[in-house]
Amino acid sequence: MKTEMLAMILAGGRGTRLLDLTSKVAKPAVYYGGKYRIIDFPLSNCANSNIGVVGVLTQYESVLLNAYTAQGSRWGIDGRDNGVFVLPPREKNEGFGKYRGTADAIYQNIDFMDMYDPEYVLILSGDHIYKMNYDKMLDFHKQQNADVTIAGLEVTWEEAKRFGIMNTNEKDEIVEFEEKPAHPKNNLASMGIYIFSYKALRKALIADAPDEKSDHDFGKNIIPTFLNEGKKIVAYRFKGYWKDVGTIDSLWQANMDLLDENDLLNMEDDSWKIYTEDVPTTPQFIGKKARIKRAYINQGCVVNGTIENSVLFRDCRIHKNAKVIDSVLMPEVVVEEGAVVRNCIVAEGLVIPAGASIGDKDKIELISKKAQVK
Amino acid sequence: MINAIGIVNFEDNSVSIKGMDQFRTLAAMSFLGRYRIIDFVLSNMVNSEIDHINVMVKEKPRSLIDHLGDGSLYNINSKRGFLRILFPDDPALNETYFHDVYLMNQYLHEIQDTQSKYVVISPSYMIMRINYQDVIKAHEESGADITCVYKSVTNANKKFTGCKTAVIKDGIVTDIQRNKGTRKNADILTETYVMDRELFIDLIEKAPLISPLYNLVDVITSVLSSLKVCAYEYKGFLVCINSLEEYYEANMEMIDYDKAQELFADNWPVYTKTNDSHPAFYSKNAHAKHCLIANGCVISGELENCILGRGVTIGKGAVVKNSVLLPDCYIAPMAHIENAVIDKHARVERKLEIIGTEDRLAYVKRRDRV
Repeated sequence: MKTEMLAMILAGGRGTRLLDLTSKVAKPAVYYGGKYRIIDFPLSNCANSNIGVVGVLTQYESVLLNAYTAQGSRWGIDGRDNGVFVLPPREKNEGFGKYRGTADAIYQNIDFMDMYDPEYVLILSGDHIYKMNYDKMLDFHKQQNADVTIAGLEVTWEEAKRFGIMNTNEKDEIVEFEEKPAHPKNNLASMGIYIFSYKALRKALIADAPDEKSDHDFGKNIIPTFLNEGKKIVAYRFKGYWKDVGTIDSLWQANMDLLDENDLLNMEDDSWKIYTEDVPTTPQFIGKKARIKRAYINQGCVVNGTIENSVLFRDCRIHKNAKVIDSVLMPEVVVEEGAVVRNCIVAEGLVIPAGASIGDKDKIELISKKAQVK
Repeated sequence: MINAIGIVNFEDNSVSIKGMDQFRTLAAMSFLGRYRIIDFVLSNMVNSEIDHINVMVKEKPRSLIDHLGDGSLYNINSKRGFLRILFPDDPALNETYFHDVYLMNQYLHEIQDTQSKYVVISPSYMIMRINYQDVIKAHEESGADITCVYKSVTNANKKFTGCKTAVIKDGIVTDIQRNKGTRKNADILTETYVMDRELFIDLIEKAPLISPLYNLVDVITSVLSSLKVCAYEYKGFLVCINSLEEYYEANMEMIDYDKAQELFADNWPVYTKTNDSHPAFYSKNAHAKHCLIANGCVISGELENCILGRGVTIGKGAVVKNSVLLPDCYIAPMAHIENAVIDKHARVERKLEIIGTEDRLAYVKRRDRV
């Protein structure tokens, strides 16, 4: 089966700073935006970019993520030669093949990629929220006759210290790659999105695998090796909304960004929808006592209280005189009569009892345990 | 092995949803914002473990074909089960000759070729939550040839006009009449039947010989004296969508969450096709009270007693009351709408005041720009 470009999504990361949200599921499976999981974004981008073969490399707490992504029909990636293929580490002749790094995860699935005999391989992260047309990026890659194309985003100079920074020449060829530089020379950050010409990638991965000093990481090892070898690496400039939600604060902020009247993430664009699981629920019931301002509310919710500046996932219940302000409620959260929730992310299924008041006005809090709401 | 195949029937020619049925068959009409009318009968069948389903369509099947797909969205196994749409291959002489039995005869070989013991026939325009396995069980216990499902109502003078009523004596249906709306109490026939597959084939084959104008109700009426036709009482939620007014009222009454619980239950999901729309967005200018709202809506105006289909836009300062807005319609800023049904993709942006009354609903056509 010949495929021009297949996508490999790195989805093995834990996301430790998301605290309890990732104690049982990997970060790409974390809920975002009222109805999505983070990995819906790269998967939908693949679907919308006409990529038919997508490998998802999972490792940390992968049961839910494997079950979730294996159903390629959610993203329409289920045509006869297409599919979403879940690729967790496996036992091999040489022993169990735990993924030692991003590059190693891809290396260990060379056999999978070989089956499709691709010209190009698109490497993505399962952790990022953005809309992007990878097909256009591939056109650019071909036009530049590059060995690697890396998508880059202009960030503020202050933010540049937290990213992998690409130092480029006037033709946007990358001449140097610096991981989290203390004194950045450029503000073009790598988005962790790579298009490799497969032959070059395959060779580099095989060379890197036995190197005991290597971290088997794209940013730290593979890209620098390509640079040393004088391969052509170009930056593909992306403009638009892009977010790596690493912390509770940034997850909260990314949800709040959806409430911006300017529709930063372009969610209303029907030509580039984000697809996700389809749960049969009723529409949302808005009661006689409801007051709703600046909110993103999913189907199945029943609202009889006040909601301001908040994002509600499916099947939340907001009872009379309850208030939800500046918060994110994950699926099936119940806020009982008179309770107040402010500045919180409330995890799936929690009940905020009548009259309770939770949340701190000065900081964002994750409410994930029953003990926190008594 | 499955014990029943399902047949989703269509309404007879007396039913008309003025305006809306110009564009699609009744079964494909949007209902309660995110559903189509047919989703309820199909979900009932699937939840009753019936996964061999024939959907009969009178006319204009396009919209229904789009919606149903291969049935996988209703959880039907794509190899073992089927969801088939049956629409007329050969046109009937005219409307008088075209009815459910006419279409059933065209596809009778499909029913003959299946192995199930029973057929369950249920129309899409009667909206209810019913477990057909319970009806089959009662059918087996009573030893009936045909079991008819009815509901005793106390508002037959206001609702169910034109529906069939059953005259029942000791659990046996002795006559079938038409509800003329003259009495409050009536046993409304839901046009849902269980019978042996072989009996069904026999009745349908012979019907045109008795009269080519006989529809299914006529056929069943004609055998009341010769076969054992039992009545099964259904006590749950029932509405019959047989006019624009009934359509509107059925929508409006479900805005109330407690009332809606009669139709929806946690262990009885209603399946429908996803549209992959984002959650509903309420802007800082939104005021929404007592509404049923689907995903994909963008709300900046004031809403009261409304049903919003998917992807409806309500402009800033617009006021919409007591109205049913079908998917993807657009209401311009400052528009004022009351007691109206705004059909799919319509845009209210020039004439900004559309006011109907409870007795005379305003209706804006599909894709019209007004």
